[in-house]
Amino acid sequence: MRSGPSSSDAGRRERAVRHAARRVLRTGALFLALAAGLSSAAPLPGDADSPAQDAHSPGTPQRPRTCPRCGYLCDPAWHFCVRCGWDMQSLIGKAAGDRLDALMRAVVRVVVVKTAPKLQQILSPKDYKSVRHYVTWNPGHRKAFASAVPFLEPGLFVTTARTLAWSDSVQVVTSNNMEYAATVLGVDLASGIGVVKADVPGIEPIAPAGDAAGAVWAICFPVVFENDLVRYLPVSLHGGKVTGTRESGTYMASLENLLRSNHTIPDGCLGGALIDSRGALAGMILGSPDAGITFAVPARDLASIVGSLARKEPLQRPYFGMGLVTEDDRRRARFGLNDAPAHPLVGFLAPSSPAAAADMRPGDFLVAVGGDDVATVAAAGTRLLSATPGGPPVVLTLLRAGHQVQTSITPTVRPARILLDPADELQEALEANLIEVSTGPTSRQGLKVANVVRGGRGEDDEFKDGDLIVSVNGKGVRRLETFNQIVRSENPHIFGNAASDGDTFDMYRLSLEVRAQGETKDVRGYFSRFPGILAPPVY
Amino acid sequence: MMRRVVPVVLSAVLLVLLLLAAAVADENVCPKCGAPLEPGAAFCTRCGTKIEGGPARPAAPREDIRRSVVQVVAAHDQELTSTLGAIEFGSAVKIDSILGSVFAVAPGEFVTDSGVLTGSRNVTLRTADGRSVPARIVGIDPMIGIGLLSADLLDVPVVKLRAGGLPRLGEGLTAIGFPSQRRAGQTLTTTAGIVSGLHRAELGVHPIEDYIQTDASLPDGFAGGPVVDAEDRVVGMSTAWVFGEIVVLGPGPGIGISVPVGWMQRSLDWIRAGRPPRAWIGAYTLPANPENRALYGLPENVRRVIEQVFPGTPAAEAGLKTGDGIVSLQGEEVSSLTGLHDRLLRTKVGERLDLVITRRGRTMPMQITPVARPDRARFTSLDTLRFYGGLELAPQGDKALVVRRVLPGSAAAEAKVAVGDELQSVLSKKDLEHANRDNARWRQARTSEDLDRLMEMAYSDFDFFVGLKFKSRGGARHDLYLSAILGPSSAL
Repeated sequence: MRSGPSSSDAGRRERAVRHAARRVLRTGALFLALAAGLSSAAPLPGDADSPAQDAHSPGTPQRPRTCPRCGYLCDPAWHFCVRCGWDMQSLIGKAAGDRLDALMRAVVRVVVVKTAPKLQQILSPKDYKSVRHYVTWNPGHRKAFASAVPFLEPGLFVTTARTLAWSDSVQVVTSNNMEYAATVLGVDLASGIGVVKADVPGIEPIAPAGDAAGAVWAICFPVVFENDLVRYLPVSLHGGKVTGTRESGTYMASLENLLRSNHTIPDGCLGGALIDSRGALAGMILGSPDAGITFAVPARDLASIVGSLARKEPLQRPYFGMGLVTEDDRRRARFGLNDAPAHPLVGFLAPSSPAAAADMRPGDFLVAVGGDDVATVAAAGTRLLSATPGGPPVVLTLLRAGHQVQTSITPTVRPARILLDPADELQEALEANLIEVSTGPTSRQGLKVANVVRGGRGEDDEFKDGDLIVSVNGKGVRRLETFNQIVRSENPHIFGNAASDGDTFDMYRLSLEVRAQGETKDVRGYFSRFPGILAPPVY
Repeated sequence: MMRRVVPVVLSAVLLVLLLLAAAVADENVCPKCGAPLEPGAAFCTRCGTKIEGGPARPAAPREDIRRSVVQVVAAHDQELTSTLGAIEFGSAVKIDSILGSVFAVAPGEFVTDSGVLTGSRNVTLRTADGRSVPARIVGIDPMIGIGLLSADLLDVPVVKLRAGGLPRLGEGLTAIGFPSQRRAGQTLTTTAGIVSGLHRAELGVHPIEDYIQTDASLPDGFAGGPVVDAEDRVVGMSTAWVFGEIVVLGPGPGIGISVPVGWMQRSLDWIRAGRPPRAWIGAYTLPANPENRALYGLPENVRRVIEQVFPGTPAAEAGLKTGDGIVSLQGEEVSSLTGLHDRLLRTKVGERLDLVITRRGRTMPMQITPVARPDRARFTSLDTLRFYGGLELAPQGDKALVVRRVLPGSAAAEAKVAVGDELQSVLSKKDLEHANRDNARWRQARTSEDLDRLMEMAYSDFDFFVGLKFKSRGGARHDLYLSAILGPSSAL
């Protein structure tokens, strides 16, 4: 028996509401992400160019396979049957079927009971006083559902970091509905990986694949939210193809080198397995921003991080402090970019970082790291993360105003939490530039919003080119530095010396007085969601 | 002289050799991807290209399966009022027509989803080449979700059903149908996917569920269309949850569900046999979960538990009660609702069944004789309030009905109705029709008889709606609205 509105309008509305609910849930998940903080760091393993592990059926020689359609004895290297043209990579046939059954039994459902912190735990006392009456915030227990992949050692399961954030208790449920208590071994928000341990008998780790390409299958436990009812579906198989490698800019993790596929995956599939046609693990599903787009952490990158998390070793990652991005409308306008060389752009620098101290500026293109040409953020990231903290300096080749510049930087150890300058954070969050206007009539002075990216978050929040931010928290601003000082001094719980190291869900609130062109002023609340939630790509 | 000739000859020989090698290579590489070919290859093993001149794969010419699929327009020739719509928008809502897909299972006989046809008396079939033909509803099986139509469209080829039945996990399937959205073109379309899982049940779409789950996101209008395998044999029928004009295909993104061919055939046999009475015992069951296991003290091996018993049914006569765990039916261990339904479908009305239940730790065998399944079974009015609202009422003398119990987390609890509150008045569905929320008539309900009479007026063919006004001892007033869409019941 289901209840619901009963006209087509209502149906559309219901769907819209469901869609919105899904978005809210995702945002909720984003909020929950802050729990574990950026508490550990280690280099992402394996330069992408290192020899791929041949991990399927380790130790056993490859035997000829029979074609599932015509029965012809086929060489294992063939992609298509020589006799009937059958795609041998499709997961059908007796042997593949048996392997598939084993894989579908190996992936587990994760049920996490979490406690959201109270509002006063995450806001400055002043903000708490001013917002507590009109902010809806439900602290307390809630449940999250995801999937997890057995990996590396029997008893270890990998899922997304955000699933495990703030967990009070974690349970894994097998495909035959047996429930096992699990303990969280480690969470690494920087890479988006979380590891739990559960003594589940009879489940073997899935071996990692080499470079994934072509057909991949998602194995996971879908969850369907229907009004206030949660329907759990049994373990499901979803077909798709790899549509990209070394993807970045998803804001699902800071250090991204992601595999992209064309799966449409339902809720509950985060942390699920992507397997290739030989039944090896291609990746762990990190998120799906829309239908037909799914991102996964490649299995190659899982191994060392999962190992370190499982052994509870600190992840020692090198840190330069540069925000690497692909250029967009506002950056093109801000840095006067006419042509776009195929290199990542330095979008911003983290304050007090090695990069900020060195001769490096926002607007530089990063051409090469240590003499190796880098074309994408992910490639640059992989190369930068292979440096040794405190070790030999790394020579960076930059392209600045058409000229190549070299600088060398000694990386430090990546801190648990990376705080951007509040003004930089606001510009990243709004996907718009803030330009200082300190001349002309006093009424037209302030921080001018410019180059709002089409379809970006600022546009969603109804910021338009030419809007003027005239004051923040009641204090007039004309300069970015003043803005930074105001925010820093009013939020000692984040920017002060005694601030926590990032394992709590801290945020700060700004009330921005905005004067739209030719209109009256309005005051807009803005909640900082950096650095834990939006996960800026800072290396 | 020799010195001059030797290099020339040598180079000529080399050239010939090179040309020869090139010629040989030309014959033995794939014309598309350049990979070396296996001897006698019919296909390239790297890119799958067919090699001209290679041994041909014998392939029988195939009928285009898409010619078997036709669009159905199920028009509602009456204005259907909906209480839920009235509550949402303040007035009743008219339902026009539902678009779905059908396919030919016999010459002139077409199968579709039952939800597309329910409530409609005027059905038209529209072929891909633009012909419109009136169709007659032969029968609807709301339990399995199949509807059978007949129409004078004898030239539409009949589909081939897959004899082996269920597809394998991971097998590639194709759903065929007519999208109903105007901007989706409304022309015959196919959507590919793979089998995500089998035996999916208890999704709340039809009473008997044993679906094939695919990863194809189906467009609206695919309800009733065939799902075929690589050889164009039908393995299932796309199904949907339909209420009024709302058609929901699949419970979420990337999830499509279809009724497997085995169940479809079973349903068609039943419809063609003139829909003989089905066995029914009159009990509503729920899966045993940790909560009701603890509540009723059920052992681990019990998978289904009796939630409600309908009055005057074999279950009530045999003494079944809420909380009884079902151990076995006719000697077969019971693990799922589908299994129970399967057993009952194989039972004739009047045939005695052995039922074993467990109550408070004691195993009790009992015998039960099913009667004919009614079109619609109804709870008593007090049971209706308990089932949908989570509250129990008891008469206090002749003057009032008083809340005796409120189940935690229920609609009643959310409406802040508390134990001891007195029922004041009732707004029934009949009184809301042709009225709106604000001027509708609330009637006094002081006795069980009042309540029974008003609750009778709360039901329509499609849904159920009732509003209840309560007054607490302290004088606080609370309104409770209960409504539900009445699909065919999954009660046994």
